Formats: sequence, structure tokens, C-alpha cells
Amino acid sequence: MIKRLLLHPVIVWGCRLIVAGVLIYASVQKIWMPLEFARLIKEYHLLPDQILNLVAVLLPWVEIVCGFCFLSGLWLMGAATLLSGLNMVFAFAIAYRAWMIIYTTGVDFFDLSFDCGCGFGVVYIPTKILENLILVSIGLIILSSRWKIHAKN
Amino acid sequence: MQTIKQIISILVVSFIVGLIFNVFSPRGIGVVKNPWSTNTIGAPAYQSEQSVQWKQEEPILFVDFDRACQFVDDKEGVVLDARTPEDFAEGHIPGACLLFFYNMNEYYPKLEDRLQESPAILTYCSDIDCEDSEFLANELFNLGYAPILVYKGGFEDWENHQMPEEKGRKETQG
Repeated sequence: MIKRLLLHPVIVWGCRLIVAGVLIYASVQKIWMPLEFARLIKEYHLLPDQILNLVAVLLPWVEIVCGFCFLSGLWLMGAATLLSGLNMVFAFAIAYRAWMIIYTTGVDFFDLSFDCGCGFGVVYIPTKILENLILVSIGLIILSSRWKIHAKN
Repeated sequence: MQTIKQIISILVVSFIVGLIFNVFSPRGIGVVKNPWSTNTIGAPAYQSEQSVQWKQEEPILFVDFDRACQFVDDKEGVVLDARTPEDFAEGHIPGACLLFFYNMNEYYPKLEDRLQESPAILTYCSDIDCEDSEFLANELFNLGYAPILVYKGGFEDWENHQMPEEKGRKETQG
């Protein structure tokens, strides 16, 4: 019953529109300020300095192309897989950085807010991690709906 | 297999468009260059003309003890402590305000009016290895503030120079 409801075409279309809006809005912010985005990625201490600028230039374009794929229906399975994969990585990275901050400063997790480089400025971190996990789930819903269509065919 | 082909297609299109856009964008950056090149130790005391020049060319400057000391003595602007409220309470630079970087949503609104009126901002955190003063400076720059000086030595350097300090939790004093 829940599965049928989640995979209903109207729900899937709604998910695609929401995700496309979020991806395109967030990526435009990053494309507009690549150096600032590189600085924000650096704050995670997860990538070597040599590739920071390259990632800062390319990652927003992956997001924007995925956004347009969700709108147009082109390469939908690939876009949904990338959406889920990338947001899983982002959620892990934010959680890792949050843990490092908690470890070094002793601040409470539920008091934590910083600019995660997600394109929305300073955000409340517990909610941000939840949002990323919701995006992972939406990607999986879209992917499941496509599998269902392929199975029928 | 089809999904993998689609992922590769998305990545190829993204990479090509991204690199071309970056070449022609006025805000384009070198893709193999380390972005962390801003590093001006011991920046000179700025006058009004220099201040304007800084805003345009070097909005964030790393400064040493002497320059930080001059900034505090001459009351050139707001001094911001990016450390935790506990560290701030244990001791801070006289007149500094607490703006704990990892809870800006709480602390920034209390200081917003003062920061907007301030001609310049000095940030610091615990010591030379601490990056929060730099992160705070970047965040404030994004919010439209400049010039911003980052006292890289931090509070440890201040203490090592036997400088006076204040204690307590009056977070928005100064």
C-alpha cells in the first residue's frame, strides 16, 4: 500500500520537481561563487588542496545537469542514482565535520550550525543532515519508479 | 548497464560544460591552483584610502601580533572571538565580542548592528593551528563585511605576549 502510494506517478512527479528545484537553486549559488565554494569544501579537510578548485568547478554542474534531467526525464535513472549517491556522501561529510567540531569544541550537536557549502548559507546542521537523507530517499523513490516501468515493459 | 551509461553521460556533459563555463566566467578560477593564497602577515595600519583599496583587493588579511595589538589599542573596529562560549568566559582580548563560529545563528543577530557600523573587523580564535577565525572571516565577507583582519596567532599568542585579558560571559560587550 505504502509502496504503491510512494510510486504513484503524481508523487514521483512531485519528487522530481522538488529535487530539480533544490538542485538547480543550490548549484547556481555555487557556480556563481566557485572560489567561495572551494573554501567551504576545504573546511571539511576531506580532499587534498590540489583538487579543491576542480571539485568546486565541476560538482555544481553535475548537480545542475541532474536537476535538468529530473525536469526533462532524460537520463532519469542515472540522475536518480547520482542524487542518492551524492547526498549520501554529503550527509556523511557533514556528519563527520559536525563530529569533529563537537569533539574539539564540546558544542552540543543540537546547537550546531555552519555553512556546509550546500548553497543555502549558514544552516542548522541536524536538519541539514535529515534533508540530505530525505533527498537520498527521494532519489531511491524515483529510481524504483523507473525500475517498475522497465519491469512492465 | 543503462544506468551506468547515463551516469557517465551526465558526468561527461557536466565536466565539459563546467570547464568551458569556468574559462569564460568572470569569476572563473584556476582548476589546479590552491585557492588559499591570501596571506599578508603584518599588514600595515590602514588609512581611509587604504581601507577602500583593501575592500576591493584584499578583503581578508592575516595579521600578526603587532597589527592586532594596534587594532585593539586604536579601537579600529569590532574584535570578534570565534571560540566557544566556555573559552571566551575563561579569558579573551579586552573589548572582544563572542561570535562562536559554529553557532552563528544564535550569536550573529546580537552583533549585526554593531558589525554594520564598524569600519573594520578583527577575528581570532585559540592559536595558530585554529582555523575558525579564518572561517568566520570568510563567512562575514560573504555577508558583505570588509575589510576583515584575521589575527592568526590567536588568543594563545596574545597571552604569550603578556597582554591584558578580560574574563566573563558578557558576550556582546566591547
